[in-house]
Amino acid sequence: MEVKHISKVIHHQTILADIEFEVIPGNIVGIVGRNGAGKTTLLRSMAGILKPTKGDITIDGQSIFLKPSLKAQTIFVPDSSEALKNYSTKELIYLYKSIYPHFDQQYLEALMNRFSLEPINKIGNYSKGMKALFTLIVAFATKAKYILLDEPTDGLDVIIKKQILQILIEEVADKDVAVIISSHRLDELEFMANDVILIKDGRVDSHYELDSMKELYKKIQLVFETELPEEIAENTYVLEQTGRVSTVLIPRDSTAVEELISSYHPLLYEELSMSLEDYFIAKLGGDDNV
Amino acid sequence: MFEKGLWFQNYKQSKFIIWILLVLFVLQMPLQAILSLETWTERAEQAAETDEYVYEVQAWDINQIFSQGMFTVFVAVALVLLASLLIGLERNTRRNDFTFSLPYKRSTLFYAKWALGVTVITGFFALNYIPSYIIIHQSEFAYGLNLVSSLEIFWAPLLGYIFFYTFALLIGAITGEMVSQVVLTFLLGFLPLILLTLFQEFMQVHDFFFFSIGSQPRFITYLTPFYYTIGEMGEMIGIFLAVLFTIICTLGGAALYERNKIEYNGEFLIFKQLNPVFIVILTIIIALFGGLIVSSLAPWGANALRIISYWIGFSTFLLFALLLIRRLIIMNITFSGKPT
Amino acid sequence: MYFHIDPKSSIPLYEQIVNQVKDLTIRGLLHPGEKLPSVRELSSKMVINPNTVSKAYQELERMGLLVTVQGKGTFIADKTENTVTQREKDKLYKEMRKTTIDCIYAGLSKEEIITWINDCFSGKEGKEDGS
Repeated sequence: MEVKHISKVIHHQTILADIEFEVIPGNIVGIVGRNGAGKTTLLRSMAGILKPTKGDITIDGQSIFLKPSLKAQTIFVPDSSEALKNYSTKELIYLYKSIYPHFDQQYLEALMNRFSLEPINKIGNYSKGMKALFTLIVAFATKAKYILLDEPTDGLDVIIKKQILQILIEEVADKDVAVIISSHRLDELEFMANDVILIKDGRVDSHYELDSMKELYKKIQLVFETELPEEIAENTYVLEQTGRVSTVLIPRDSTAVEELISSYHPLLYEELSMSLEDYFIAKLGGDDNV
Repeated sequence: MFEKGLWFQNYKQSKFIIWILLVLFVLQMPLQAILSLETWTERAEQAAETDEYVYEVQAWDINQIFSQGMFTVFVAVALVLLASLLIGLERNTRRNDFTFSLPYKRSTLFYAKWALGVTVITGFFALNYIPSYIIIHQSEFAYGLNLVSSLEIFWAPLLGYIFFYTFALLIGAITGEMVSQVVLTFLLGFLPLILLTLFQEFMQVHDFFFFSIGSQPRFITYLTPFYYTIGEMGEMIGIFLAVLFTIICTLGGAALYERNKIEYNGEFLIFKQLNPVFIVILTIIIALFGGLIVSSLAPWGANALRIISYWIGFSTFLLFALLLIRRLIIMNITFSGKPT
Repeated sequence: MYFHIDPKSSIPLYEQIVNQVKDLTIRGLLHPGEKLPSVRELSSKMVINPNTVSKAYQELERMGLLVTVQGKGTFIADKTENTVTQREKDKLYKEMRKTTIDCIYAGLSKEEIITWINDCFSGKEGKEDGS
């Protein structure tokens, strides 16, 4: 599946601008950005719900907008199951079965058993966590190749969250599917996604493969006689600054930056362990991060 | 058009009104037929008792049962609601995201909605028409059926309902949510008639005539979609127009639905380029209506006073219209918050 | 089967797994011929990307620590076959030399250093590395 230079303008406002990337089955792609960055709009475009103002979404080289039958290979799971809340589990299975020809009812029932989800008369009556689990299981049961999940774990308790992520990982391990997850929480995606796309103001701010990430940057704690010199602040990502102690992110192999720092004679120069979240915060803007 | 998943989904979200429609048809046709027979028998007896004349069923009595009268108006309302549950309500909720993510063309989604409605209308209409016809046919008033043609009592109402329903779907393809769809369907459903009435009144007040007013010109009837539902079209040309308009509305609706920008769901209109058109039409109608209302308060003889009060009404309502329209343009009704 | 991952560590995730399998094997907690969890199982348990686990397994297999039997699973290799290249040996020699020199400067005796090395061979509890 390819996202080809898509842009979306709504009410003369640019929500997405020239977004491009490729999704290859077998991968978990994380779409990360702050609230309002355009993650949902991007996912809805990839699901064919919104037509991009410019650009195209293709599967096997063909546009999903010109050939909607290709969308049988994708399934979109919105952050609320509002749309189908009045369906019974049985009705919902019937609905999906008649739309997705490869719907795997056995798989669905096996997973419902595993998580002790009882069939119900109204899906809206499931608890929040059960709803999330159920919609996810249904999505995987369609045998779609590209699973688009909008904030799948938002507002769920740890146990359900873990169960959901586990199903997801098992699916990717077992089958040739790609899972595309949007989230504003990087820590959840950190070890799951092998490809993270950072979106800021509707643009791809950076796109990296997870393993290479940690080799690119390091996190350093610095203490100076006085405050953090401005020249250093300009040339690094400042994560945190409390009094004379500051934590910054610098490229791992940049001798120029390291020389710059040592030229100011820091009292303390110590490398700290780093998480992806540090990178996220640095890129998307400081402590006021939502 | 025949994807059973879509049929099931559409039925699921509109079944309430579908069954109401059935009830309406039952009340209108078989039940009314039985009750009418009672009434006619009673009248015939009375007529026989007084010995003065022989009671005869008129064409009008038969038309009341099949194609005219209060129930046809209810049916028309139900059809608009059906169309708005299928398109408008979907826009108000997140359901539109679901349907548009399915592996179907948008025009296919539209045709599926159309097909469900048409099947329901045709099925329920025929289901009730046949027993009602038989009931009357078996009675002593069977001759009444000879007073009307099958065009009048079968084809005109059936095709009229189908056209009006299709028309409501077409409006659904351009409006952003349920209430706008209902309101606009009625407004446009009456538009030629409304404009005619308002202009006539305008000309009458000013005693200045662009065209003569007398009885309502027939072409206005043909152009007013609502007339198709109340048994006004029992003639070849009416039938022909009903079919023609149905085809136009179906194809046009599907084409517009295909170009749907659902990011504007919840707003008054989906197609922003239509905004000016509707603003102008609405403003004119409301202002003229204001003139009509206020001038009618003035005494009939006082011409100058009537003209003054007409314009007072006109400008007050114009102001009101402008305020209302500003609200319309910025409105956004979605039930579960706008997704970011 | 327990693997601990340290999210804050600057060591890439797959390397953490590699190191821990090595450590567990050397310490005798994993026996030759023992079956390891499948990629699916392990990634699901640890809630990490399956590709990471399979990358670690591939790396271990390349080193000769693991063998994969088609259709049966992944097992600890019978003995650590020497599949290291001369270049890697040179690298290890340099590291060993550096560590030994550090130890000498830290005031450790030759005997102490040798005891530690022997501990490693006999699989005694050592300080867990790799995390």
